[in-house]
Amino acid sequence: MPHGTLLASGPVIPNFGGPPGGKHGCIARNGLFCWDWVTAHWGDILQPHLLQHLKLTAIAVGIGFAIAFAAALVAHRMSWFETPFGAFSAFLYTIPSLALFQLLVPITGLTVLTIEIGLVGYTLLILFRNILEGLRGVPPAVLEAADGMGLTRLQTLIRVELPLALPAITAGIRIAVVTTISLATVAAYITPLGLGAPIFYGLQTSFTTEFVATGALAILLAVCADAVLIIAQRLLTPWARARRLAT
Amino acid sequence: MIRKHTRRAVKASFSIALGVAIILGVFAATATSAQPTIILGTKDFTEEFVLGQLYKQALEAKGFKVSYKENIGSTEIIQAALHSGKINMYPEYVGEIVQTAYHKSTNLPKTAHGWWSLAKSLLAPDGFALLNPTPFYDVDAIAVRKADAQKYHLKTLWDLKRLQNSAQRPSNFTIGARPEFKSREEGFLGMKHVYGLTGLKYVTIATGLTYQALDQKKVFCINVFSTDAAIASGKYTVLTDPKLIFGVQNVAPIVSTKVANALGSKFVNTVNAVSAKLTTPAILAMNKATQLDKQSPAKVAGQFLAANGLK
Amino acid sequence: MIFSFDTFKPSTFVDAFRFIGDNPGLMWQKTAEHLQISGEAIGFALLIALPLGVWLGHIHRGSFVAINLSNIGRALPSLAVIAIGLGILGIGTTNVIFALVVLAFPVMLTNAYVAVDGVEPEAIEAARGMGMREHQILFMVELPLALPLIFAGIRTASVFVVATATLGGVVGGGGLGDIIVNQASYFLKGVIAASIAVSVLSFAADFVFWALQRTLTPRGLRKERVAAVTPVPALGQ
Repeated sequence: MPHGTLLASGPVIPNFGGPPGGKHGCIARNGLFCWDWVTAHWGDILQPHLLQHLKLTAIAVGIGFAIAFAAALVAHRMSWFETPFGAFSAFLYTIPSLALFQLLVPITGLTVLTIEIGLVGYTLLILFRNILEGLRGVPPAVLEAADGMGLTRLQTLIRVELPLALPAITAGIRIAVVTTISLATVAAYITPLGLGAPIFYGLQTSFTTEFVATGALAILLAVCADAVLIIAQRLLTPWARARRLAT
Repeated sequence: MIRKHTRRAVKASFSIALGVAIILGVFAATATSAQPTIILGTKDFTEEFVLGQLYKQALEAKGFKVSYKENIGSTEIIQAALHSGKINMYPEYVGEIVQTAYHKSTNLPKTAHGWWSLAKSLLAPDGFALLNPTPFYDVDAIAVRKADAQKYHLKTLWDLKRLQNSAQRPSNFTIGARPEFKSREEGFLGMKHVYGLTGLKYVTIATGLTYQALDQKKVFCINVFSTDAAIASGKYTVLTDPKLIFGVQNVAPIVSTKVANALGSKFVNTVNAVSAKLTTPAILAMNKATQLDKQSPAKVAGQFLAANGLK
Repeated sequence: MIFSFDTFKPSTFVDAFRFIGDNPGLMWQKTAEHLQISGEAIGFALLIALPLGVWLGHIHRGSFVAINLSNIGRALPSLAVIAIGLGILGIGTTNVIFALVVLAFPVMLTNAYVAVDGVEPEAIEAARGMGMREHQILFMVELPLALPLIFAGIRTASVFVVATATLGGVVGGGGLGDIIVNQASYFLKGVIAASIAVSVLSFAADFVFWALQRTLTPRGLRKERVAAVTPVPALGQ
């Protein structure tokens, strides 16, 4: 219903209503954490961005693992490969994420591809090092025994080396996942995908509860993912009970 | 046996039918491809989100197809997007076109219409049209806390210079502003060159955090927009700009000339009808609803258009 | 928020070095700010983490918390912690330093705990047998033996702090992040220049603590604890 005086050419200015939650509500005060905002916007802001975030992370860790695994196998066979690949992935790691995403935009545009290239790059170092360390950690005596039993190199790899390397590999996956969750929030700087988007939007529009609540959700996601992966790690490698600082 | 003239007649009518079909087909093809999609972008602050939603929803209500790219960035960045074809329309502030996009700083017009005409003439050679301006203008300004304005007798930017050179200059003599403001003549550089405010230290702060920084006394003054809802609260004093370094800033939509021509007068009239309704009270009310009351720009724009028969 | 503003060619790298040469004042000021923020964060984190971790390790208590703390610390998304820090503490460098401390001290604490907790019991037995008192055991036996692992944690955390402090630019925290978020003013060459500066600072932080570790490690132990390589690579951002 239009309110206000109707001028000949002037606009009708409707009554937009005050802030949700009333004049003295949490949003009107720009409060730190407004639960009513969270419940009101779970469906249209928080949940969609959470799902995007999960997708981005899963793709990045999946691709990163595939590349790092292949590279680790090569380095395990041909040890000269370790230095160049290790140096390359370490170099990628030192580039500040805010800068890397901006640098990729002119090349691959404002797309999911740009984000994924950046995120995959950051996972390579951790996964490569951990997989390679795991493979190398297999005691030589075990390898000799396998050789003595007549196993081929491929059989040794699949039935002996990889299972023994599993603790290190799963530890690497766990670190890669939580690191990627963290970096994916920064990816929203260039395109509004993932949980970083409401954080940046809230910072731009000075809407405290939006960036605080989304930040809390991101932290919750990361901590839960870490816990789930620790449990998975323990289940997969029940023999590796010994506490190792690398995990 | 079919007679010769019958065969000829059949051949002729077949050729004509084929020709007509081809012509109709070409016409149909060009007709459908003559309906380009409007790729509408906005800059990176709330008022632009509202403007973007106003134009977007009004155009969609009239049957146009709009691809919406919100929150692209500052003037420098969205101009790059426009010129590279990633968007073909966005609402811009007339002064920004003249000063920031085309770097004109001499022989500037004296009237709002003069600025608009100048902007239009600067855009035309690059293939862009400038549609009608809004009645409201939103210009960069410098705000201080009201208590400080009273204590140091600050009304204009010249007063700030006087304070800078006096013994009462506060130790925290800083300005908080968004990154791109620092390197603009119609921004911090102009303040230094024209008003001599070389003693003012620059603190980079995101647009949404400036008022907070001022409230918490982290900075002495901040860069604000003259239609910000927070100004109406009375807590701040906006310093006037007698030298007009911040320009004249009515809003006018920039559109690619090709797109405007292809879409025709219905498109232009729809956009101009929206612009005509955007008076200062209207934009202030919408800014209050979105900036202070945290309502969504889409909802507020929709309500405004509906109330004015544009949706 | 960024839309393919500037082009990125191989020559941009060259331009980046020229940018550093052309803007010495800006680079110097931002680098100094960055060092100050990082330094304060590392300092506060050390103050919290080291005494607590060492003491818990000495009395062999609180292992569950001490060990899992670093997991949580490592898992926290940096941008989220900085945003929440901003919400609580408002604008300025304080909220960035607070967030960086929150992100850094878990790793330091866990490493300190595990290092002291894991000292060979035989060494401690021998010291007790010699009549040493508790605080002598701690300072003259446990700490020197635990030093490499403690420093490994400090080095990891320090490199992480220096790299993550760039995110402070998003909330107006100062430092080299201010340049990286301002592609509009400084173009990609400026962004690259600031990134190079951050990398250099990260390596410098790592080197400083490596050198500190070498000086503090008793000569007799130096040969054994070879290359205290950080077990987990620097997380950075």
